[in-house]
Amino acid sequence: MNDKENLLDIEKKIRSLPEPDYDKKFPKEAQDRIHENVLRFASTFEKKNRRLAKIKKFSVGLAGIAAFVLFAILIFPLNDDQSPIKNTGQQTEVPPTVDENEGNSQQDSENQNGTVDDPDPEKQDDTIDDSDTDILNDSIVYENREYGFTFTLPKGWENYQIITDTWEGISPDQQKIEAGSILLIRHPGWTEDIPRQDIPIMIFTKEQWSSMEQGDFHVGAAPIGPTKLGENQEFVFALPARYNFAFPEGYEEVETILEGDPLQPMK
Amino acid sequence: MEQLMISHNISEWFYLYNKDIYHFLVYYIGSSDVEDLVQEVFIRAIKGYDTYQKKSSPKTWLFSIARNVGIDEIRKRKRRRVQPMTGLWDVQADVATPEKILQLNENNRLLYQAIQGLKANYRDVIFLRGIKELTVSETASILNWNENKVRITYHRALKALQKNIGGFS
Repeated sequence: MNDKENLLDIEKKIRSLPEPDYDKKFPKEAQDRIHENVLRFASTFEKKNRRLAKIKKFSVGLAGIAAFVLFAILIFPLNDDQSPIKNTGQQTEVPPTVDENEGNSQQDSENQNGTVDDPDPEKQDDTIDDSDTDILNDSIVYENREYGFTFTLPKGWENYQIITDTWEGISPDQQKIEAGSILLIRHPGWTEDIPRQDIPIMIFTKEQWSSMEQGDFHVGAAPIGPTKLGENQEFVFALPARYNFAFPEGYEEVETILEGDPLQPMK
Repeated sequence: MEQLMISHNISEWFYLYNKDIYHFLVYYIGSSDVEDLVQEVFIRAIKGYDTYQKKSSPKTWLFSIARNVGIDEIRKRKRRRVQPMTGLWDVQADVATPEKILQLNENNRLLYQAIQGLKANYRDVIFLRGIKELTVSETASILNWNENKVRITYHRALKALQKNIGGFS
């Protein structure tokens, strides 16, 4: 018998190995029992799958809502970012205080801490100098007695708001070593949807200004420092660098106002 | 709807192939205690129904699952055997060998023992091509080999078997 025949013979013998006696070893009852178990499992598996599918749908919905909320959270602050208040780079954790135009001269004089000024040019003799208005022809004047300066504005700025914030002086080793006030004169047409260019006025003590000029600290991220608008015996008033960074509505008008040397010291 | 299709298909396949799978597992495991394994094959088929490709035959798909179930079971039983003196049960006393189940005569017993002495891929191809008499194509699909490899390995397995059983013929 040659090799091929031998292999065929072995294959034949392998194929002749008997099958189990299914009637005795794997009877119909056993098969039905297993079949029932399998179908029961299929049913459980289906319920589980449906539940998982529902959870998945719910999770997707939830994720969508979360994404929307996150989007909204991100978008609204971005709108706020367009406000020049933050673009000045002197924003701090302390929220700025805002007061609508409801005040009178008494309130103005009460607010000598500078956090709120509420000038209503029609009512406030202290804040608006009528004689100046006449002289300057269609101008109004914001007067700040706390720091001692006046700021001339066009008539269109009547009913402006004053917002007070703070600036921070950061040392070369990134430590906050100085702070001071920054006043924002806000146009009456400013809205959250369409913010207009504010006029920011930084208040420095003489010592702070000198220290900043010597490079002991810097204000904001801009590589150039604030521009001096004027000074009196106690304070230096300055315009933040890149204050109109976002070029919001009205920034050209503010540039024109600033070119007219509007800030005058009182003391 | 899809789930109804799963139940329907699995039910149909069960009655078509459960004996084939039982037969295969008895030889593959070397034990008669394979009813649970038959059930396990179909449960795994339900779990993996999404992976079943319609173009492949359910028979070869179920056999490939059965082979994996068999491999897992052999490993499990080996682990049990190496746990000495547990005293909880005695594997040897518990197992009815295929020789007993199949009531093999002396020649067939020797042949079966020789098959069990082959290396794993030879055993696989002998069980599928030889004992279950599946085609080359079906065997290739189950083992995930190409058909040429099935032919060559089967031929070598037969030769190895011939050598093991010596003057058996």
